Amino acid sequence: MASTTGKISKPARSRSFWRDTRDGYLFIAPVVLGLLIWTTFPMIASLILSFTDYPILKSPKWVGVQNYVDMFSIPTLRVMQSLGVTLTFALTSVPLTLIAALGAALLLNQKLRGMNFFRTTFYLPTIVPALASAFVWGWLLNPQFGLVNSILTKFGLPKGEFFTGTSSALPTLIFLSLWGIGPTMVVFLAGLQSIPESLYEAGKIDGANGAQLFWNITLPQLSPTIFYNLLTGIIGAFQYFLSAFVLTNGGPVFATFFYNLNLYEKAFKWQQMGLASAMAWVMFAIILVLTLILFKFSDALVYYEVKK
Amino acid sequence: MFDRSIKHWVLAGATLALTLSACGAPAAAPAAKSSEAAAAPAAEQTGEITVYSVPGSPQKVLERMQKDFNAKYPKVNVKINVHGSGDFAEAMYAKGAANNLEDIVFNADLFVPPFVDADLLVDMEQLAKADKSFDMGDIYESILGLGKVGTKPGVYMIPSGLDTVQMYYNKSAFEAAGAPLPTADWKWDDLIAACKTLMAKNPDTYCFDYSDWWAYFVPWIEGQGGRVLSEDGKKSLFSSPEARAGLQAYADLWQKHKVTPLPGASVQDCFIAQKCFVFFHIPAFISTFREKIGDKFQWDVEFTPSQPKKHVTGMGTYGFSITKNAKNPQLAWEFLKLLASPATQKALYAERATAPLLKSLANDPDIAKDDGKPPKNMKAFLNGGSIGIFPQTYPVKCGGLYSGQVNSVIKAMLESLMRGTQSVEAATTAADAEIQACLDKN
Repeated sequence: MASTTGKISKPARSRSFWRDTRDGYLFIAPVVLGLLIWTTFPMIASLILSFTDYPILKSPKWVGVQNYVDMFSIPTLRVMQSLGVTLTFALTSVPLTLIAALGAALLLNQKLRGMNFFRTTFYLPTIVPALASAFVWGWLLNPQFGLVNSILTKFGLPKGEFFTGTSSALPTLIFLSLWGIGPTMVVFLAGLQSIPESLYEAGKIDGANGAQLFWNITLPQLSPTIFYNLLTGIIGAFQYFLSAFVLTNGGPVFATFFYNLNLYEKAFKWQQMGLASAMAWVMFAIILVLTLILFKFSDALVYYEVKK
Repeated sequence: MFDRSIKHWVLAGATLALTLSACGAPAAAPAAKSSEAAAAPAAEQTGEITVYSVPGSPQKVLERMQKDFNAKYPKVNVKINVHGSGDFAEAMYAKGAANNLEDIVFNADLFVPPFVDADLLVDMEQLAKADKSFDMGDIYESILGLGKVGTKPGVYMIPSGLDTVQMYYNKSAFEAAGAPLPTADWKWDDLIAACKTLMAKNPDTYCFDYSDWWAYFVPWIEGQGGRVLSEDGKKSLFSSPEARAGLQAYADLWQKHKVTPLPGASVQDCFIAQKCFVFFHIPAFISTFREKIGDKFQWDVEFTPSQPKKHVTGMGTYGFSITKNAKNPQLAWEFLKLLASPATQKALYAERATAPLLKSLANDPDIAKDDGKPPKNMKAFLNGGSIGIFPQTYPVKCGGLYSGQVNSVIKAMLESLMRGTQSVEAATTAADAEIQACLDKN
């Protein structure tokens, strides 16, 4: 609408515009408030607390960077040890999960009868609450009375120590992490189904065999999905807690003393909330750096059809 | 002042969050009341007492006390808040930090030192002294010690009973295996010999569950004449010859005699499932065993076997404390003192939930009466106080035998002994170094 002065004025805001705006803000208010109260504020509080000595029942006392210094200078806090356990877990469980989930997705992407049944079956373990699964595995792998060992014994094989052996506890937990491949597998499956059939047809016309099709079409086309799963897998691995808490509680002899178990211990068993907050921020920094590194290399490793 | 402003920020945020989440958190607690005792409230007293407890037996005890209390104070409302899901210790600390503890709280020896250190509990010794109807001296001094701390005089928890760790045993299995039945004068060697007989007769079983609980390992040290901490609380003594001798014998249960499984390899409820034949614990398990074992096998209790130089066993119980949030500490005391009344103690004993903590009940005919159900030898628990010891306390910052840094260090030391990954000399030297560093700093 042109004004008499010849300038183009902004359209007048109608009452309905303001009503819609108000409604919009009201609709997002629960989420925004929730984010502020349950995420932003605790994060800011924990950052401040990380510079304090805060035994929960008493007022926090400002100690500067002492908690951060203590973390890396007092061996008895076992920060480096627990970080090592977590890194070992991440370095082994993430690739294993990716391979297993991709393998399962490739199998479940076949056009066979009854495939929906198999897809449901593979996803089923994910629906079982993690705590319940942990207890079930605890029973199955009990070294003295567990079902697995009784089967091994029946076949004349030696019994496994599983969670109770210093060298077998961490590998057992890594193996158990494969139990939860369901969500990763579903993402892979979705990625596989979005690859245009025409690419495979063109490959076949050019005489490519199955392995060549996989290597030259499936993997490049799937690389954004792999990247996504890798990223979330690493973040998840660094946050690993529940199964170790239930099954080993960090033992035997700290073999499964994950970083988050250590953090939990310092916060809720030692009541050193300042130190625990510092540990949480160090973990945040580690995950942030790893994520940034992965994004840095993503251009070289991930194939996007539309270049950024 | 900086620390104060941080706390205000944290508390302001927490208050806002709780208000918005409509959790119905209690209003801010009034200022701490003096523990100065006043005259007992009149019968027409009105008001409310809030109590925080765990479910199960403690809740039942409170409900019983509530009846007695309301008979005397019918216009006072007793509101019992029962802890729901999640870790009780975490809930207690969260309530303590937010200063919204109830007037009376369920307590245990592990909470007493940090809560006293934070000045959250009322000294009940003062209230008791001013109360002519209550005789604190009638409570066994040993069990009352669980409610005391070395750094501050006073009594901060009234225990619920005289709980000592004694030995439950499967009488049927002992007899079937031809093993001699335990007696009050048994040494640990006698039990180990019986264990080997039992395990030989019953493949795929073990003798008993044992762990790093202080009430299990400290008696081995004190039974050799040692202590875990010097009397002044300034020196960690795991490396002393006596402590090392005790810990070597303790480690031998796994490494040499193999009568108990490694951590994580035990069976839940092994005693009920007859996967183990001996169970060391307080009387609180009697009602469970009566219910779950039924007629499946015969069982009884006996004193925990004796160590070479001294016969001792762990002692621990729950109790209740009055907090400084109590709106009317005197009224709270009127309620809480019922826990140590002969009527409550007899009722608890009738259910075999605990042994009475009052000396005056030692020869009471109601206590001496056999109820015809196992265990027959209740004397093991009734007389258990004579050999009971309670945990020494460390500076709050270092934790203690139940939790915190000291607990972590000890757990690591004991696990390495159970698994034989370290010698007793190496493990105790390392543990002492870590604990001593904390003691020196605090």
